Amino acid sequence: MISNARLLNVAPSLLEVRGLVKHFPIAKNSLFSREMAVVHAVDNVSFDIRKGETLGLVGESGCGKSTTSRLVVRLLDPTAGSIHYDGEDIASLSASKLRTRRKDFQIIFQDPYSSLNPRMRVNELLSEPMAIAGFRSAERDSRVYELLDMVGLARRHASRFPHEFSGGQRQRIGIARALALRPKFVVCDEPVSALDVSVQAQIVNLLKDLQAEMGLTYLFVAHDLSVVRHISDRVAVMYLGKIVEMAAKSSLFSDPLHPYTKALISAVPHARPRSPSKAAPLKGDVPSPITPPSGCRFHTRCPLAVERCRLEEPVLRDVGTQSVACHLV
Amino acid sequence: MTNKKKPLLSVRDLSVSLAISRGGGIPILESVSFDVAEGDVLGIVGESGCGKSLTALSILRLLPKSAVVTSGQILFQGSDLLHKSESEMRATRGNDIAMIFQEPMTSLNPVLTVGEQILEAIIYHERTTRLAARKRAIETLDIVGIPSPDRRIDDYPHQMSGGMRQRVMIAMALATNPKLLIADEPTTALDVTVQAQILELLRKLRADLGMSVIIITHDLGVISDFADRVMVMYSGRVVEESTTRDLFDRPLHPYTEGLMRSIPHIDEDVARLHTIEGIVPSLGEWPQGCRFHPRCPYSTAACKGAVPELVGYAPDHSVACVRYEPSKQPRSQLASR
Repeated sequence: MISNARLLNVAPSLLEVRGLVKHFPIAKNSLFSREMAVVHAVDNVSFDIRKGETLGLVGESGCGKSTTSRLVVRLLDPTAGSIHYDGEDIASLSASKLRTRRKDFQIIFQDPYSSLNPRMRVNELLSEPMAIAGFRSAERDSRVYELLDMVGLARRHASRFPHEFSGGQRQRIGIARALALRPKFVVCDEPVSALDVSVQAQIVNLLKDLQAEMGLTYLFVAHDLSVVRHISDRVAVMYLGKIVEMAAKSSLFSDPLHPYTKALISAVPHARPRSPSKAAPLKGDVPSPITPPSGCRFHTRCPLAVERCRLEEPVLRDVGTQSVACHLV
Repeated sequence: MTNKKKPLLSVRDLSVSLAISRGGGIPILESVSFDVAEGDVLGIVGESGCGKSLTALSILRLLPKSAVVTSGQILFQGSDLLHKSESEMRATRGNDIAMIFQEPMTSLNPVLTVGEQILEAIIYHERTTRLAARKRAIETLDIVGIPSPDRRIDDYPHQMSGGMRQRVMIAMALATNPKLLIADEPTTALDVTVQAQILELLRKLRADLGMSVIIITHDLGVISDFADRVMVMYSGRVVEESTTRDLFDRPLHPYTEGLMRSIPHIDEDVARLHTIEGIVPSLGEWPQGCRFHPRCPYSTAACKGAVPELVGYAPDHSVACVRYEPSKQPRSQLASR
């Protein structure tokens, strides 16, 4: 398999995200209050994904990684910002234009149990996107078989219902459906989190094989840092709606710069016997995204925080080959 | 299973079946045997449907009605829990043996304050006054690291984060000073930084209070971080049991080996992950012979015959696989048990 890492410095960007913002309005405190509060789910996020690479997106629950993944395929409409896909801003496309454009970018969901319609057979699940995209019936049938071969399912599976499959097999169906229209860019939103450990590896390997065969570009969202390290070329770390660090995976994991990245990596228990990690675990919980802390959003939990962190928001800037948003780096 | 320390809990040959109509039953646990020594942490690891949670529920006699213990003993401090009456069991449960569950979101009662829920256990088991129980509950909340426990005790579960709720669950379990704590996937629903906090807390409590712990998880990282001994389960049977270090240094069973090689590590790059082919068999569809043989790279005709027994291969290291059965090994390799 060709390493994608080699392409990194030459390949042009397929996706350019600039100043992406998503705020969800919610009713404030009281059930009957008219006053509205805002969940700052994604706040001014910018990144590029180059052709053929995998960008890993990690962070704890509520950090905005899933919202980001849904925004870049326009399953959610951004509050502000642009998403240039292959030169065209999809953030401002009309619904009808978006429908024709959408065959190029697809998403694989986390839960293979709830993301497949239980009343549809596999061949219906796989041909539906093709029918919408205007494929002819004969074309659809042959493509269904092609897809089943591609994801390692048997052709006889085409007439079965989702409940007849295991979690891993269902995720293969989810992958086949995402690939039905030959997309160039695929968002993988926690694709292996719901699977058994022994099945995870099968799906991760499949995703890597498909990428090599079809030249796919991935945004791989996960909370499992080990899996992200394995599959990504570059990794972005999010905290409370912001990217706090972004770097090639080799430097991010060996030399994390942001205190949050460091804490996150040291919190992962090693699946090898060794002395328990010496780094003190991070104190407290992620603050509420409704009233995010002032200045650096991490300062309330940061062991190194100084006065400036409370007052002034750090910007994401380049330090060597890495990008980091911290006053102290 | 050759442990120098006195076993607090000793499970012998436990088999459980799912009762179905017309007398028949589907086996869900088969000949499960293990010991937990005083002050020890036993990790039970395995994938969905392997019977690890059922093992925990059997110990507490909390199995669903459809599940029937068909044989075996569960000796806790020498007496068989399976022979206790329901009222005797109620005195043991939540008192000597406590359990924390995976979902801190759903295992607390949403319409009662956390204080009321902790108090309930203390008052039931210790017949003490409300005031004394409340004082004790606040102390316990303090021990598990809830900030300003005298105020948070009157919070409802929804006012707390996932990590806080799991701390409350642990406080409830600890309020009666149990000798054995069973933790079923206590950190699975939590973020990794919160997981680290909870594991740190459990480690500290175990050292301070000297209780034994059974931790059930599918995460080998949590096991290696926290457990003294590990038991690997697959399709209702124990396939390997040893000290944690031994298991990671030298996994014997092909399933354990495959499981270890199939997980990516945070501090290492590999080109391709090792995979275990096939899928975990569903209940009632367990294959004949060794349950793992259809997925096993080493499987031979012998594996389709009898189910291999769990036997000692090295001191403190048992495995259920024909490759390690005494008759197939030269004498010199066999360690005395």
